[in-house]
Amino acid sequence: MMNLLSTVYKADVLDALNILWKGLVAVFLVILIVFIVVLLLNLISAKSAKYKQAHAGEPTVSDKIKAKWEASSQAREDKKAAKLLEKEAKKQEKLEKKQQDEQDK
Amino acid sequence: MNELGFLIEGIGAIEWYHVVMWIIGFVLIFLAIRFKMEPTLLLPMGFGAILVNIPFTGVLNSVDAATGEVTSFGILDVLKQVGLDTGEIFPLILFIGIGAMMDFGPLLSNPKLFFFGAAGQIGIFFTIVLAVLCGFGLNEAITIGVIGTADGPTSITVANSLLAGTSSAGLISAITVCAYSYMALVPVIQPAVIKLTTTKKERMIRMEYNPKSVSKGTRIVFPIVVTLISGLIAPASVALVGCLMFGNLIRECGVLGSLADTASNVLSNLVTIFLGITVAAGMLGEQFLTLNTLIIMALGLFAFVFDMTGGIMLAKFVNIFAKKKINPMVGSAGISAFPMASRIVQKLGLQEDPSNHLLMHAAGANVAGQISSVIAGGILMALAGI
Repeated sequence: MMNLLSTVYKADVLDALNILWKGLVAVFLVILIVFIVVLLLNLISAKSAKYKQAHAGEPTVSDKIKAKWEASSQAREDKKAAKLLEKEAKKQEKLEKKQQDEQDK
Repeated sequence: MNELGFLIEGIGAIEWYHVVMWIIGFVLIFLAIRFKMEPTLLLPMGFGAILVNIPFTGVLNSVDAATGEVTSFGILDVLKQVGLDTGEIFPLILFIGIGAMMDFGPLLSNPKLFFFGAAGQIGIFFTIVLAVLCGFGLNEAITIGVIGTADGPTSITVANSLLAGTSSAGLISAITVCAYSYMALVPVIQPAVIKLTTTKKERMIRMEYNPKSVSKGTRIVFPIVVTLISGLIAPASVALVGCLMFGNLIRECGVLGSLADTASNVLSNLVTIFLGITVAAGMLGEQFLTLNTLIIMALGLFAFVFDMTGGIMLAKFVNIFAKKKINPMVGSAGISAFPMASRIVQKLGLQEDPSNHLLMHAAGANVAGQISSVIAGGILMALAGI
């Protein structure tokens, strides 16, 4: 045994001991963080489920966003259509004016 | 007659180590078929061990002795180069399939079980010190310790990252074979460890199972968060954790059913076929049959046993303070051998008390062991300076 130990590269033993404590601490630390995150995720989802239950039938946040988005896109479409109509009317007016001028001549 | 001498050239070149490797190959195939021990890996490995130990085999590269140049390519060497030596592609792709198979539900509904996964890695770190004391270099010791993860792909990835291209590259196959053999021997090792370290009274502890529903959002966010956390703390683990969690995200997202199905069935089966036979490419008798292989086997067993003991001891420690006692057998499932380790806990629990069902608790610890082993592998690569 003494012979075995004397041939062991001492620096490697020290490095191995270093890896032993650092590795164990790192594994437990990562797992601790993951554990906390999972607790938080579970907490958030439980709260959101409770909120959904309490406000059953009411529109959810995503429903509200969706409705707002649909309303704004509808308004944009309407504006576009109004602009198009206005343009058409102006064109028509111009054409009528031109025809009137030609008749006058 | 001399002109037909080529017919017996192969027979004349047989050495004792070829015959021993054939026997090892037969034993692996026998274990796979007769006892169904990890047949998906032991059978290809066993057949591969026979293939590569046929003199003048054509499945390995032929090298010109004078110039050292490859004169003809062999399929196993090519597969090894592509699938293992170049970025450990096979084990990482296999991880995608494993991730797609895994249900983290039992673990997410009882996150305390995460710590049994962490405790199930203790043996790895003690084995590293022991391996160094046995005269192995630090990187060799780390790869030997990783056998204790009970996770074949992690063992292959770490061993290849640390040893490929070095003078110790010959150890990779011994380490891989050892890792898979012990995984196959979990049904033998685990009950022995449990019976040695727990009392009958402890084994009879009942644990209530009150599953809390885990929301879809949590199931989707979990793989992303784990990848981010482990990636930021141990960037070397990103490939391992990332592939595992990517597979799980495919499964849990709910919109990629066919991809999840392909990853967990076709893809993992395909890679397993190649992985098993490719690992065997390193099982050349003259390199494999050494004293080092025997020492690695002994150290691997030590790592395995102490990993399970670590989980059991953590459960016993928690029981000193906890009101609701934990059956220490659940702690022994905090290793990566999924789902075998948890099934054994269930079986032993039922043997002690036919109405004590521990499967879901053990499955949670087992899944935690899978995650922790991958994280431990990444941390070890980071500590080794990869």
